[in-house]
Amino acid sequence: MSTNSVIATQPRSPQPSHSPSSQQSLPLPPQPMPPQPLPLPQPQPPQQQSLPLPAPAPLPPSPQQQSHLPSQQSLPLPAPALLPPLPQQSLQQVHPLPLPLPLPQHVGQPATAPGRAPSARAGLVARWLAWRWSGWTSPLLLLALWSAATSLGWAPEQILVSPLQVLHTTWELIESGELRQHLEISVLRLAGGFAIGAVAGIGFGLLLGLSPGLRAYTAPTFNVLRQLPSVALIPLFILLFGIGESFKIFIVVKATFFIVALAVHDAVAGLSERYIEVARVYGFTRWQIVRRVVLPGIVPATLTGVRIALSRSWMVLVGAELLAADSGLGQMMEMARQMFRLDIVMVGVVLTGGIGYALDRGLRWLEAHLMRWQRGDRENT
Amino acid sequence: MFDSFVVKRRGALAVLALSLFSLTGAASVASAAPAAGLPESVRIAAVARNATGGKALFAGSSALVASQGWLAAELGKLGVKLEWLPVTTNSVAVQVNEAFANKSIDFAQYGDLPSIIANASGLKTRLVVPGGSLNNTYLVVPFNSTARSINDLKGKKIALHRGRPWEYPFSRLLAANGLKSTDVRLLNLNPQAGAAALASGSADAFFTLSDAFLLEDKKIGRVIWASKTPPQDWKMRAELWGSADFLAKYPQLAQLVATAYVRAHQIASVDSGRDEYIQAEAAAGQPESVVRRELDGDTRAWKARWSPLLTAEVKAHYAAEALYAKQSGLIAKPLDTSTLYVPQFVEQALVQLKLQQYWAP
Repeated sequence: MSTNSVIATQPRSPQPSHSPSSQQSLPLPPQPMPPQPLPLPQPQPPQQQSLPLPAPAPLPPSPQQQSHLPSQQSLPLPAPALLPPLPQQSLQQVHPLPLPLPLPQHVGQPATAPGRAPSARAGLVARWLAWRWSGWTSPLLLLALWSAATSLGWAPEQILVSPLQVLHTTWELIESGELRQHLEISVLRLAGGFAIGAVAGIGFGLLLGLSPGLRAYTAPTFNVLRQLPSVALIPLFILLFGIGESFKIFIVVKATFFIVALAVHDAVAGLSERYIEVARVYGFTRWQIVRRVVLPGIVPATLTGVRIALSRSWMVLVGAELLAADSGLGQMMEMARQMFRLDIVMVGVVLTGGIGYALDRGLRWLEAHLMRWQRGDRENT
Repeated sequence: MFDSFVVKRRGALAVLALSLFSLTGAASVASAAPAAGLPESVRIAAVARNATGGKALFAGSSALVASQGWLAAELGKLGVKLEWLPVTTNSVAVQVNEAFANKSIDFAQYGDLPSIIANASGLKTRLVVPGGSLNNTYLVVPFNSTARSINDLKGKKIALHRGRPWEYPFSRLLAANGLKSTDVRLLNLNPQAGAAALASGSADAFFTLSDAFLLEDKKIGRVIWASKTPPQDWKMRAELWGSADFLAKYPQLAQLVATAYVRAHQIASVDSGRDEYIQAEAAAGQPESVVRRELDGDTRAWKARWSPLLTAEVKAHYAAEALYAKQSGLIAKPLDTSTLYVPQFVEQALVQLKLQQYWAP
């Protein structure tokens, strides 16, 4: 079913993929356009035709369409209209990528079409991949392998405990309240360290990106320090901060700060110089440039950096807790290993992975949520 | 192109020939080695202190057994090799238990509490040769600390590697002073990290073995309590444990191992054996002054400290320790310690060595 629509739309997809180039040349057309606002009815017929076909159709007329918006807005009030065009221009810069619908189809297409020809088997694989739960394939396979390994006794039961036993132990740990206690303290440490590290990282990254002076002074040190693996710093941090809470929070701060700062710095550095130039032409103050041009422009890259930093600092935190702590998920695992309770260790392993995954998914969702204006804008055009 | 193909083919042939050769070689060695029904080797894990220069230097009675060479020779007569597996002091308990679980060792010279933990979690090991009472435990505080006894440490942070044999003496010390384990904050740190924590001021005290004297020598710490004078059953024990499977399957080999350890105990337990033992320990990376201070001032006589007898005292020690392990949540279900003993090996060894009356009470 879905494959039909894929094939039906496929020939058209090249068209949209060309459109970005025409979009990029947009900044110029608006000036000759002003007399055009009236011919609106002319582009409309194709638009109506295109409606039944959801994805590809709206895009071909887009050059003309988008040219309306700025021109319409700029006609009535020249001065305030200066602000909207800027974010929109940055949007159009992002636009070359979007085409949310045609793109995945385009990607999925090679898998389906050739799949049919050779054998029905490949079609089955493709259909499996297209199924919405197919993401569970590898976790389920892993679970099956794990179950097989334990039921066939590939490893001693004390060392490789069965998934069922892990579930049972998890329940025991939940009932005794032990798990909650360890999780609470771990999450608290992560939240504290991550908040400090992310805020400091964004601030420092911005300053580093915006101020060539600061960059000249701190870049070498920054670049050396960020190369140091956080885990390797644990012994040094223990010496500096002792083995109390501050050491664990600082190790998370360290893990977060450098990743976020680097992402923000790179995002600022990657902003097109033209935006700043245009903003200057419009007489923006320095603060206005930061507030209206730089900050909106670096949001996507910053969010990605923050997301990577979060999962990285979670791993580092569990590692630090393994080495020196009196509580926390890592310590629960270390203590269990000393007590030869590999089932508890396994609970810790599964939970560490699960929580890391959940944090990542959560931030991805947040990313999508915060970037929804981008998508909304796309849908409007 | 052609040349490279030839080279490749030649290389492949060489590899093939080599692997065939090694296969047949290994097979011939294997067939030459053990007598029928015997394993290729007997594997014993023992604490190794400083494996400097690529050479493992064993500590305790295992070092004596290894250096005397008697066991290796006796096993050799049966075509069985003797293999020593060094384990490091920072986590002997975990390394040995995991090695027992994945069947990579047959015997291990290690502590009482880890053995209880192993058996409580379903491993089956047996106490083959009781190790005597040679190790003491110490409570160390920072050098300029005002603490004079455990009572001054109420509510303070004490570094202790959990699940290690010195945890039980520590629990006795607390209990004797009317303290509960919740009255102090335990930091679960291995001995190396514990020493660092004491040095950096992160811990208010550190409970450990004779490495306490190293801290005293460096003026980092001060010993405020030692297990030398209190009742003997407070003392930690380290002894020879064997895999129950191996003992049942190869009693003949197990007997040789047990006899070798009893023999080493006897040689060390004579008066002149003390200096030899100190030299052996010093050679294994412990400063001689530390070994001397560790051995000095103990209430029990030198000869009796090497007794391999499974006395009522030893059994009571294990029963009480298993109870402690259960009560403090170290093990999930109670352990019946009466199943852990196989005294026949030591009894037989004493007969073979004509030592029945040597340690008689």
